[in-house]
Amino acid sequence: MSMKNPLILTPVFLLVVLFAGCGGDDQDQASGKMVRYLSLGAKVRGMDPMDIGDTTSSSVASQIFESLYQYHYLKRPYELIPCLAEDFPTGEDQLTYTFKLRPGVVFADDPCFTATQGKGRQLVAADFIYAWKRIADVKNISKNWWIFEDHIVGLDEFRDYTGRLKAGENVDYMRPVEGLQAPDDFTLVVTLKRPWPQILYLLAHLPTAPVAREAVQYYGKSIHNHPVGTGPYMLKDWKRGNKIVMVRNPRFRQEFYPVEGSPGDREAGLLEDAGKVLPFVDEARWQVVEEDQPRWLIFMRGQLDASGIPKDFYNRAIDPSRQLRSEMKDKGIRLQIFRDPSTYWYGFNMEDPVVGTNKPLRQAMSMAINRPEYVEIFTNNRAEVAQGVIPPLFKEYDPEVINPNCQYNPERARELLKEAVEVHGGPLPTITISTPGTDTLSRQMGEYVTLAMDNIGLKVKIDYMDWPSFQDRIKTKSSQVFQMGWVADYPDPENFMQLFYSKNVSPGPNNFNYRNQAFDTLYEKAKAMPDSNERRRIYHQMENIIRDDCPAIFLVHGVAFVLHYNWLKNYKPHVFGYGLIKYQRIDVAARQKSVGR
Amino acid sequence: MVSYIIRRLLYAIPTILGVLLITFILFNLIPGDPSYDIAGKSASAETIAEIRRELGFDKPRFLDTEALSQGRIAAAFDSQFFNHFRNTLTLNFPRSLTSHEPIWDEIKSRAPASLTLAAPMFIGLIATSIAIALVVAFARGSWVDTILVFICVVGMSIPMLSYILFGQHYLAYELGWFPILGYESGMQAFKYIALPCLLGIASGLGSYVRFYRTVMLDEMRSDYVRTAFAKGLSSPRVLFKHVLKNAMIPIITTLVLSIPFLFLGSLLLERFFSIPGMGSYFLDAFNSRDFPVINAMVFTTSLLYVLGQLVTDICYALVDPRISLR
Amino acid sequence: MNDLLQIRGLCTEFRTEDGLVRAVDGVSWQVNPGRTLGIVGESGCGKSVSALSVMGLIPKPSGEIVGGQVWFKGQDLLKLTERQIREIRGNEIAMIFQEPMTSLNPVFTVGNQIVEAIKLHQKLRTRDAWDLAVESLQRVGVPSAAERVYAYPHQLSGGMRQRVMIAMALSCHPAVLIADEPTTALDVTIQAQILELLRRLQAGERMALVLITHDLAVIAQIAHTVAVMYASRIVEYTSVEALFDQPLHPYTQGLFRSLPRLGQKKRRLDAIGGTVPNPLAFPSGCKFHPRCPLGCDDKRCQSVEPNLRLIRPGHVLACFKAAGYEDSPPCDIPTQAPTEVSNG
Repeated sequence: MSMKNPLILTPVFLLVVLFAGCGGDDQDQASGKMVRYLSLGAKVRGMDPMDIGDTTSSSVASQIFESLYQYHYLKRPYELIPCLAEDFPTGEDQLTYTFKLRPGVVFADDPCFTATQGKGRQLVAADFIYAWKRIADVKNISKNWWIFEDHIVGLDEFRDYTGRLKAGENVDYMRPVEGLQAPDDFTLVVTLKRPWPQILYLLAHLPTAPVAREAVQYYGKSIHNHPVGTGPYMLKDWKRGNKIVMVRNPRFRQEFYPVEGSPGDREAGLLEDAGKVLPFVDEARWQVVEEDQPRWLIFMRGQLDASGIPKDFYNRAIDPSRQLRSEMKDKGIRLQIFRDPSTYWYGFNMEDPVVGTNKPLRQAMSMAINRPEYVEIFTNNRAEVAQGVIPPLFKEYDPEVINPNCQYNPERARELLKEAVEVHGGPLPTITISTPGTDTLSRQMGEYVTLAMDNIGLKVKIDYMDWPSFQDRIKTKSSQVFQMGWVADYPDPENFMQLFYSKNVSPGPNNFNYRNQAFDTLYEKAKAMPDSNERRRIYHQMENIIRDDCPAIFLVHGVAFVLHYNWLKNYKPHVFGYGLIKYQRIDVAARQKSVGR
Repeated sequence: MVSYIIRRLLYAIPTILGVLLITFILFNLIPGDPSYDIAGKSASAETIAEIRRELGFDKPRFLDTEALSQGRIAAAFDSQFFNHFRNTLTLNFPRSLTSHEPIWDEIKSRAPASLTLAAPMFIGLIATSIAIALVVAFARGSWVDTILVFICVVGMSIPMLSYILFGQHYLAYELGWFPILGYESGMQAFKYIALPCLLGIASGLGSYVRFYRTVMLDEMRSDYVRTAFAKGLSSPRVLFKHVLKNAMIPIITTLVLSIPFLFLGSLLLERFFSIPGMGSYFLDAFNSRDFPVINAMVFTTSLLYVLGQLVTDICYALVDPRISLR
Repeated sequence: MNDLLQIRGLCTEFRTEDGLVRAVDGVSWQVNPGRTLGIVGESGCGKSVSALSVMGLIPKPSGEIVGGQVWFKGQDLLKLTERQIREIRGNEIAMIFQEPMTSLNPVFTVGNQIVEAIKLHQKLRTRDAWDLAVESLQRVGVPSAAERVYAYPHQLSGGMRQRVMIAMALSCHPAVLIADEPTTALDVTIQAQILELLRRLQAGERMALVLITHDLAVIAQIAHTVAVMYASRIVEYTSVEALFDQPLHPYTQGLFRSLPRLGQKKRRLDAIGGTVPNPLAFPSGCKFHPRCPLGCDDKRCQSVEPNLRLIRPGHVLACFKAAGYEDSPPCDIPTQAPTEVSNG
């Protein structure tokens, strides 16, 4: 008789599972290889510069691709230095730029270079023209056309030409574009339709990186999986949703660690490697971690070199005086606090018949929110109260300005609300606020705002939804009030001001659908001006118009808290540049001592 | 048998067409247009229109009446509706709108990871809960039964997320018994799926044990059980031979019904333990309204569901001699 | 105790959601080799429970034997361990049930189920056990038994299934067979065949048979002695001849009146008036008094429960109204059965 005790099954199963768990941990630790461990919070969509529009993909692909310019790693305020360009462009007028390419730059070795048996060839000026034409090619539906749109002579016409092609017809990339010329392999001449002072910032942008035509032809539609660039690293392994591994590009040109930085950098040890050959790290590994708890846990285990602080773990890491707790210091963890180029707001749809025509209502709503309290409750004080749209990080930010509409003033708000009723011609209806998020934090924020508005006697309803639904709302101008923010792409306030320019209304970036003749005139004037005191004055004028007109309830500017282990050397937060791993160094011995068991 | 299978597969055709119809309706009803996502944050209206044209969103929804009136039949059916059916039924899945990866390639690379986690978890869950249910049924009415049922009820009322947060923090981080997260294919995978698997089993055990206990107790009231005892058989023997095989019929039914829930459960586990499976793929696709991906996954799932039902029927026939497939 | 199987003063209770139910209340009976005891009564009167108590098959933990003894071959079965009683169960005392449709396990072949019983109690190789199973099927008259042994229950008719049940029960040649309504679910011609089969097998094996039924016609065909149960107790217990000759208890008389008789013109049968009493709230006194045709105005009938008395040799009865009851000695089991001298 086969008598089986049913209880036997359970422990056997548990044993198998437990035994399976007791494997070895990290084999790389022992080899002495310098490995940088990073995490990815979101999906890397692809590594074709033409198609990269999100920070996650940028932060990865920027280790492989380089552009004409880059940001100085240490200097603040942020300034550009040449990267693939040999120097800053020459040109008498503001319409023609001549770029000289740095000699001796080659693409990383890749099978796509069939003519040279996989050996990467020299970078030439035509590679830039090719890459930019790819962005213009309608068939490629690039996210980055906004960079070049209506700037370069002939490029918009090239786009029209690609749009006219029938399905199946090949785009002729040899078709000349007047404004993009390569008189020789190392000279690139760009002719503009009108002055474009931000051009250099955008030429430091990843999407403008040169791309080898051989790679595009060789890999076809799978080019996004096969990045071939000129940068310090090459893709070794990429398992979607799991991990990315990059290794040092042995044919990377000679580049050196900066020899000067900002005040305090030398004291912080950021200049210890001054003048040394880049890069230091042999291998960079990204682990996909979508949730806060596991990311925090692997950081605390030392399996990540650096990490942000998830909201739920903030109090475990930081004490009330904004200092790192001693347990964290004892583990060799350091805290870096720095400003984000970001601004968050509740935006008004100016085409909405209720809020769009009622300035007292908008001002009242803006005054109803107690920003310092909001910062404390929802960000653990990791934000600064906004007085306008330009974040404090920008040199155009004026710390003297106090915007009355951004001050918590319920009495004044109630008075304004009375005016608002008059303007409206009757009692105000319930105002609907669209919020992109259905999680707890979004709901808590929603409730806070509901209470704040209730306090001044205004009924609001919060409409929670996911990001695509939210985008639908604002792009079709069907929201009334919407919760949103903007992180600047480059350190020029123009990047914020374009959000209020009447030609950019939805589905363009002006989601407020704000139209103001005076503002537009100033914007068009400033857009064509190089940086100057005059331009700074115009920006202030523009910001004042917005402050008063109140197309948005400006709330806060972000402040980032980043933790990193002391074995991660030369770590300095940078809010515009992404290709930074080349500057960083790992003290492998220190890490082993700290993590090793 | 063969004719039965063929007949069942023919019956599945309306089901599949219905699924396609529903996905088409949903894609048109759910707010959110992937064009905005593809266009990027600073796109102009022209770019968005261009993208919509490229994706075929500018085509007529059902029928191109203009083309029809001009007698261009083929062109008339070049609509969103007919293209949806045509492309799906011919398994002509395009590339993902967001990653540009061929959908089949990504499913092929992700399905093994999902299965590596889900299969041992599912089998472990079923085996463990049947074992415990047998013990409980055997000890029905005694304190062992009472305590186990109590534990089951407690276990059922704890959300899965709590199991995950607890297990990951204490078992993996504090005690170091398991890796905190990660995934490798091949034999290495077992090291990484062990904890999520265990947590999946632990969180599912309560409801499964309770259900199987009910099934077992129902069976134990049957006349044939009394006969078996009258023969002088011992309780374990009656449970393992007579009751278990009869209880397999309701158990098999629940197996197929729980597969979709298992899929949802794995989604959380996959996210927290960074397992590159189908769960996060589907979630990403939904969050970016990547309709081709959603469509491919819904279609594949419904195909699998139909096949699963067929397998269930075949299993019934294997377990229960009264059922024959004709 | 020389009797093969004797139960004395058996009390079995069930805990239900509404309260405690005493399903068997001080029941005693006995049966000997070659003899047949018929237990008759309406459903719910406790006749099946008394049989299940003997087998130790009272569903636990809701049911419990709270008193009495079950003597089998000189030992009290209620004092045995579970393991010891399992050796007797299905081996020396076998049981068959009312529902041949559901009493066999639907997912195993009949051969498998018979072999299981054989191998449990006899040290036999599988092959021999299967041969024995075929043989026992032949013995109960299953045609082409060598093939039927591989059949599943659903492939057999009701009569065949009951034959299989009997074959299974008799495969170990038990000393006592308890048959709980073995023919109730079968149609009349099959009933007769099965009863005939049981009688033949009993004679051949000198087996004691306890036949539980609600059908007096069945009793008439096969039983030697009869115990009539009403509301958890035996109310009358005597030989089949005595009972059919002159039923003394008003309940037994009612049962007889409700039998259809040949040649009788009356179309409606005389059923016993009233309903079977709720076991959770038995009437006081004689439990039959609310339905008793002899009148329930008698104070004693209403307040005192009559016990069994030997009202005449071989005939015990529990009824105050019967002539001579007052003077008879208390007695559980008819001490001197009139058909003690048997030719069986």
